[in-house]
Amino acid sequence: MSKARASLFALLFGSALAGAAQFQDSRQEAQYYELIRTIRCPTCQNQNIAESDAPLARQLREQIESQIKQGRNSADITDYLVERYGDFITYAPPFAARTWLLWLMPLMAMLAALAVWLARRSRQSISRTTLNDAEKAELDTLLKRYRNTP
Amino acid sequence: MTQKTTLFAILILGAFAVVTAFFAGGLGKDPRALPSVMVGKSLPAFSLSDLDGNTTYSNADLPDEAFLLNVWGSWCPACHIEHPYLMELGQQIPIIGLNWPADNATEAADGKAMLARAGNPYRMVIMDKEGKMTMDLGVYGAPETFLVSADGTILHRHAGPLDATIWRERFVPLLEKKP
Repeated sequence: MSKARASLFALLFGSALAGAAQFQDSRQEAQYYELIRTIRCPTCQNQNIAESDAPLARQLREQIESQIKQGRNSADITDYLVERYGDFITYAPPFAARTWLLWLMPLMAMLAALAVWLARRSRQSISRTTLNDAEKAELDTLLKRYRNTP
Repeated sequence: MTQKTTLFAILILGAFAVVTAFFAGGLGKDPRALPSVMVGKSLPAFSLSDLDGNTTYSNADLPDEAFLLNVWGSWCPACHIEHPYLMELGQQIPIIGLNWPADNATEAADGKAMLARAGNPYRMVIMDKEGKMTMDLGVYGAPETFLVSADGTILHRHAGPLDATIWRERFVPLLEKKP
């Protein structure tokens, strides 16, 4: 790569790489990248802290990096953040008394739809499976009419 | 209409009314506003220096009466907007300024310049150099103002610039409730 291209590359991407977390242990590194993808940035709330450029996202990443290096597991680190910011900060809300509705609503909605469908089906009972003569004649008329249209 | 149709119609309209009421209740609420989980908890422990870096303060240096903790930064436009009101309010209740440098490397100097130019409403200014205090408080933007009781319990958190209406409607009732 030419010197000009290298400097351009460094200029464009250097700032993104400058603050990147360094780990000796590859398991810790994996834990870090997994965790920062599941923590929401409280400032830019449609991004996780891996993506967000907000100052708070940087601070949270640094805090997580330091706690991982101290040997804390992901659940404890998440609890630490939830203690300060609430459940909203994690993309994986816990299954607890206060969140059961959030988790079960889709299943409940589908079960309700199934129940309605079964109820309606049992009410409409079909007694005949063949056409009688009058219905056959009607079918013939309709077929003749619509088969002939180009 | 048959009885069944009437019943069905009532159910549908009832469900619609419930859903409408639910959504109408959300009008005017900011979906990005986060309720603070720190309300009711004690103010986190801190040991931070002022903007000059000379004096260090800790929880023992906080006022013995109810006070405001205002999170601010010179880089934050809304903090400049809120500033004149804080100058006024600082005469009614002590305000402790928690300076949040965020990504501004020269915030110590910039913060001092802002206070020199616009006035200093704070009884005490502490600078959160590592960003730990703001994180312990669950701060997600600036400005934010916390109402803290005399014994260090967080009574309320307001995110956004403070003004007379918010002070009157959100803060004063809590102050009057405390003995």
